[in-house]
Amino acid sequence: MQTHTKEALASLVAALALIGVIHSGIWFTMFGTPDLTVLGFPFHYFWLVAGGPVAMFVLYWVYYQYITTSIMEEKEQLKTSTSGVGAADDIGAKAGEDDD
Amino acid sequence: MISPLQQAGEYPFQETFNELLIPVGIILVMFLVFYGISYYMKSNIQGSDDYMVAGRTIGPFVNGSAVSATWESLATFMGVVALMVQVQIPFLAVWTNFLLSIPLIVILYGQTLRRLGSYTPATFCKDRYGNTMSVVMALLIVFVMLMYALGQFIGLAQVAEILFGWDYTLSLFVIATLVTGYVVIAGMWGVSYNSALQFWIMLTAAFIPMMFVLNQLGSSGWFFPPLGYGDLVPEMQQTNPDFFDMTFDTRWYFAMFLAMALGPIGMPHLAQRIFTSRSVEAGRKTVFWFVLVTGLMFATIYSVAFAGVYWLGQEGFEVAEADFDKMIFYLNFAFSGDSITGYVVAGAIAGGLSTVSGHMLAISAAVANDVIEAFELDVTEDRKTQFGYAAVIGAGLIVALLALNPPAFLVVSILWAFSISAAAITPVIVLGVWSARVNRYGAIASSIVGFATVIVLSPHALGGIGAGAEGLTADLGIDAIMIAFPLSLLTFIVVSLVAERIDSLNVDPESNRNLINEMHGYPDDNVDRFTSATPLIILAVLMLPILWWGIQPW
Repeated sequence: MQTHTKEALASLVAALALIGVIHSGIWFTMFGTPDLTVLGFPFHYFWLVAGGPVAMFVLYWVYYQYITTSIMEEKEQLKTSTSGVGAADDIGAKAGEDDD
Repeated sequence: MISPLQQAGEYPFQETFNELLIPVGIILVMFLVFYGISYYMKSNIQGSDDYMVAGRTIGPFVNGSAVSATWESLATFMGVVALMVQVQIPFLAVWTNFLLSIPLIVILYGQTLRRLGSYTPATFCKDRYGNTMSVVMALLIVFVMLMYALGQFIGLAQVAEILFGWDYTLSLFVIATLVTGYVVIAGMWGVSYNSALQFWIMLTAAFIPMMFVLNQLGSSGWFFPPLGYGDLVPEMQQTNPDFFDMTFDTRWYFAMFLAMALGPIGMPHLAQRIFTSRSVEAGRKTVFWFVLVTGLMFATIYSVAFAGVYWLGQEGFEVAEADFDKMIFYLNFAFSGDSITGYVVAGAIAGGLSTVSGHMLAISAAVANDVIEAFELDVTEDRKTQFGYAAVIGAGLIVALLALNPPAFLVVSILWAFSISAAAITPVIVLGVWSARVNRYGAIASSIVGFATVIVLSPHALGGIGAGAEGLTADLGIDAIMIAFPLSLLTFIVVSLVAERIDSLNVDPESNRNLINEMHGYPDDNVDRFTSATPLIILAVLMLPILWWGIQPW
């Protein structure tokens, strides 16, 4: 599969997964929530307040850590193979400054 | 026993400050710090790039906090609590959908546009679709930002009313002067660092007072308000048995997704924050801080709404609809007194300032950069920055005049802005990034159709023409998005693909090749990428059932 196809699919899947975890709190309720409480809260309430954001954090971390990194590596290889083209990531930024 | 009360001034609990000295002192010190930071940062402004995107130097932690403050706004303190008190749990769905927007901005286009060095989505439109679409986009941005800022100005004026007991009009113009002056002083540089500070003021102003409130309400987990009030749930279910019901049908939640998750994606004041990142990598890392701090802030605000409903139920009080916006202050007056409520008010003001400054800078960038570039005017960098200042002052005046006759809830104009953004801005940006097959004809048609559909179906513009929904759903203007969004996407795709086949229109997907490769970080190797029409056709087909669903009576 070509890198840009992989990138498009990975972005689509990441977006859908993020939307899915947030919405699961709603859909569980719409289609019958199990009678389950977490920390004293009905499950759907807990999910919307805390579970969803935490799941979103974890999913984004997976996307960032594995998918983005591997695609960036493939792009770098493409750049190397075509040679002489500077890194587009550095537009407007000073090299080596990546922390607060 | 319920004691129905119709308006402020008659409630059996404290509504305004009895002692102003400490609250006013807190707010004055806060303003001095904001102005001080702005003044200090002013020395960094040497051109429009510095004014509008802080020279693209902001790191992930500062940016994550600043994005969160800009994103949360005054509505988090006032509008959200008000709607949660009235709508109850379904409003959680609104806000969690909103939470999706920043990760989606970064994934779908933030990092790609950051590579291009864009100021705003309109800058991108100029490169991708040409000058006409750039002007259309700049006008849409100005409109949406004015609507969004309107809610903030109304809320800030209400805060001044509570604080000083002033007339609403006087409060409004004092607030407009203070906010506009604040934004003019330092542009995005000062605003970015101030917004990060504003976030932490907002969080502490919500979190710490809620510890006292929950403690007095008898919660054993009072020390951690975001999740510490679970033991109050059984009593809440007795006094308010329907508090945890989702109430509305599936379509309501789907419409909320379209408006609240996809709408903010097109909001330039949020995207602009990502563009201030010092690198694409820093922009991606911003999301981690954003989700972390915003999740904490939101969970705390839910506890405020919960405690508000719980307290009203326990005491048998009723509050007039128009006063729900002030619930967080009533709660703190009742449990914590004037001094602590003064800090809560400071937090609300910080929320309003952070967002409205983002709106004004987005308007400034649209007028001083996008319009000037679209018309290819020969303007010096100094003159461009001066146009930016003038645009901020003009925007402040217009919003203040619009806010003279406000809607019942301050969130109404904000939700309307989201619907317009979702239908008229988001599709043009996102598809423009991910498909070389969409073009300026489709983009212009899509934006006009999306905008016009929301305006026609919205109860706030023409009135009398609805999309089938009634009650709160229609009042909020959210139902229009179920028709406007699919219609906008269908128009975009169909017009783009048809335009390709009309020779006289000279549409050549290959002309975007270099731009698409550059924005996605690919080498300039003359390889065509993102050129398949199949994903567009699938998307168009998916829009048909959504459109049909939206047209049916609610």
